[in-house]
Amino acid sequence: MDKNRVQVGQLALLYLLLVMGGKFLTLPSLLAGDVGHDSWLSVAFSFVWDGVCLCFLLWAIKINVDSRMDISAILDKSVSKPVTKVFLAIFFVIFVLRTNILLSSCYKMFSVTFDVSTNWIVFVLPVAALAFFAVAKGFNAIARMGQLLFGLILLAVAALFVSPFLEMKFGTLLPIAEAGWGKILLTSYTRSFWFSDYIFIYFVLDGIKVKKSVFAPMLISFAVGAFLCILLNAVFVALFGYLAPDFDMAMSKIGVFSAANTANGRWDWLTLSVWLVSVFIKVMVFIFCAYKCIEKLVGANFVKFNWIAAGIVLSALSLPLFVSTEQLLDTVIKWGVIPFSLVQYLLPLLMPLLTTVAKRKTEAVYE
Amino acid sequence: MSNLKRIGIVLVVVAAVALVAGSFKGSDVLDRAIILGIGIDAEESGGVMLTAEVVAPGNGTEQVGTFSKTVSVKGETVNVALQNVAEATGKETSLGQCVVLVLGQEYTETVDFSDLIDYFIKHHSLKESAVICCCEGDAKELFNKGNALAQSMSLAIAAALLDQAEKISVTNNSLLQYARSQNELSRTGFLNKVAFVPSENTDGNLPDKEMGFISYREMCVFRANRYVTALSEQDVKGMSLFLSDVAGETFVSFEDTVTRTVQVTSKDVKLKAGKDGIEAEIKLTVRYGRTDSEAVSGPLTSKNDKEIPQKLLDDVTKQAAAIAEKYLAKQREFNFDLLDFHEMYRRQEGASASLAERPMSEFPVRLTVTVTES
Repeated sequence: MDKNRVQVGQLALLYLLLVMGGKFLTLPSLLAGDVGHDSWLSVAFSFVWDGVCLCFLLWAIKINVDSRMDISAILDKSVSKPVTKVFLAIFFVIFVLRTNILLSSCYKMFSVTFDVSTNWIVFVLPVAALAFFAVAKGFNAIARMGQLLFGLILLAVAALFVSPFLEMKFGTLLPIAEAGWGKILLTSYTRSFWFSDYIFIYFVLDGIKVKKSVFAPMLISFAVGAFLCILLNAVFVALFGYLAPDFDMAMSKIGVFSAANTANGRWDWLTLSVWLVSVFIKVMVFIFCAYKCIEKLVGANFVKFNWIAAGIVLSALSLPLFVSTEQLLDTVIKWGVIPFSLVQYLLPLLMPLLTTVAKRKTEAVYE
Repeated sequence: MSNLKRIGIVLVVVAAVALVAGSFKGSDVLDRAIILGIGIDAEESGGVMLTAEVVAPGNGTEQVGTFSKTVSVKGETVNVALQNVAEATGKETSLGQCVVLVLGQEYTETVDFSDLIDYFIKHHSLKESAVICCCEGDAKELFNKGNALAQSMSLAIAAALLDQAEKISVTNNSLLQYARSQNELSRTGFLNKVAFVPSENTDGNLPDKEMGFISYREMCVFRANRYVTALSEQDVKGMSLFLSDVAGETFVSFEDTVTRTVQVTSKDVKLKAGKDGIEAEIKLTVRYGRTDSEAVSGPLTSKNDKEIPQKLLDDVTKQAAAIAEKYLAKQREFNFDLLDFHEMYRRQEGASASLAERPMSEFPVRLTVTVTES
């Protein structure tokens, strides 16, 4: 597990990339379809819940610093093994679905924006290979990659984003809450699947090196990521108006109006490509977590890379060959919101308590 | 790790890379008909006549300088016509670099082109920031005047409307803005009207060569993609007075035997929607019209000595108020809304069918114009 240990700073940068990584694809158009120009409010509410849950999770990290228990150990000792398995199964489904949705969006973006097409398997294989390489190398490999590419990705986001933002007419977002507060709140719940990016932290709980504060770097990252996401949603709906629900590749559409946009040339493609790296990093993190779910579900600690676990994750990534993204959204994700909420929103709130209980039980055994 | 194992891993990686790389179907730039601009004209049998300006990259043996050609094809729909372009050029069409859409006069005046706009705005490759305009006569004819401009017609139109228009009191429109205008609230919007203006050939070496430039000082107004009316140069000037990001309006004043020209360098426009109508406050900053001097103005610029007499400023104020009022009267007469009056009320009341249907006559405007020297 030592190779998986990451510093809080690395974790914070990675978390910021994850927050920005998947929310600039299909989500803005879905939200615009639900609540129109109030979608930024819906995003803001989702981040409020996320912020509260993140604080509790960070509290749990602080409690767990010395004992360094992983998520299954904490749950096993605090709520029983069968419940742990249920939670891990839900986690596995979330990670697999989110990876599939992200990869589907990237697949579509490559096809329609860059006009590069291939079949799903060949598209997924290199990404999965990279992810499994990171799994074999340990989570630290992903965190370091995020750390290295962070600046470049943030510059790309700025290049795509600043010009449309400066030209945006904020008045188009008025009147505030035209869709109704109830509908906005409901939307932030029904679309919660796209949020709570902190769930990957559950699977690195035992590998976080805490030197100073846990809260400050993580909350700063969260605040920056949340602010950028809210802003992007506002820019998107203000720019595209009634057309926003039809444009399911928000970042590529906003990129058209980016700072480097001139009458001729497509500089936006270059910056978009750099930003896409953050989506692939997110995919790698989720694949890592899905792999870890299997490890913990079967109750084994894979000392070496486990090909069977990797095969199961890879098989799950072939889902879009059988079910379209729209079908997934309309069925599994729509009805999965409640069970997903258990691990997205309920579990983090209970984590400090569960970690304390597990820690006491461990200490009692040693005594 | 044994050498044999290392060689095995390298072979597997090479095979995997070859498999993956070979499976991605990109296409060579020379195999693509990269379209810079599209012209659409009405076709007698229904359907459209599509003219595409296509990049023709040189291959080393071709003459340098000729880099685009126009291809005109018919089609029942734009999609069919674009496929026919592929057939005519022998290459796959690509709209990723298309910068301008030009709609022919007959087409815009006789056809409801909602389907066309819907097709282009939802096209994955075409930039929503592309310029859209209409033209005098046929778009096909206009595109074939590229030689007379000695440059690509598409790039010339895009550069004129994107870079130059706002400096000469003409506002412009992107495909996105136009598409939104035809579907939101009053459902009215405009297209710049581009025309080719022939000029005298002064080239002794090519005496028969046609020469000219493009003019874009007029506009056409559309409601739900149907033609409503045309705006003259004076109307466009009146409209631009209400737009703070457009400058360059010129006013000529005659006094005794002296004729003076002043030019708007910047403006501050405040439009406020109230219960009794719209309050419009236009503050123009002007200076004497001079060529080759930078028209910088605004609160952070250094002060100059005043040289324009008050009488002249008063005259400009009267002229500006008159053309602004004339434009407002035209908006009321033809019931179109290019100044977003409906949008101003939407921001207060929210969107509703009753607001969208409110005629322009229900938006009385109290106009105040002031002119100061920069």
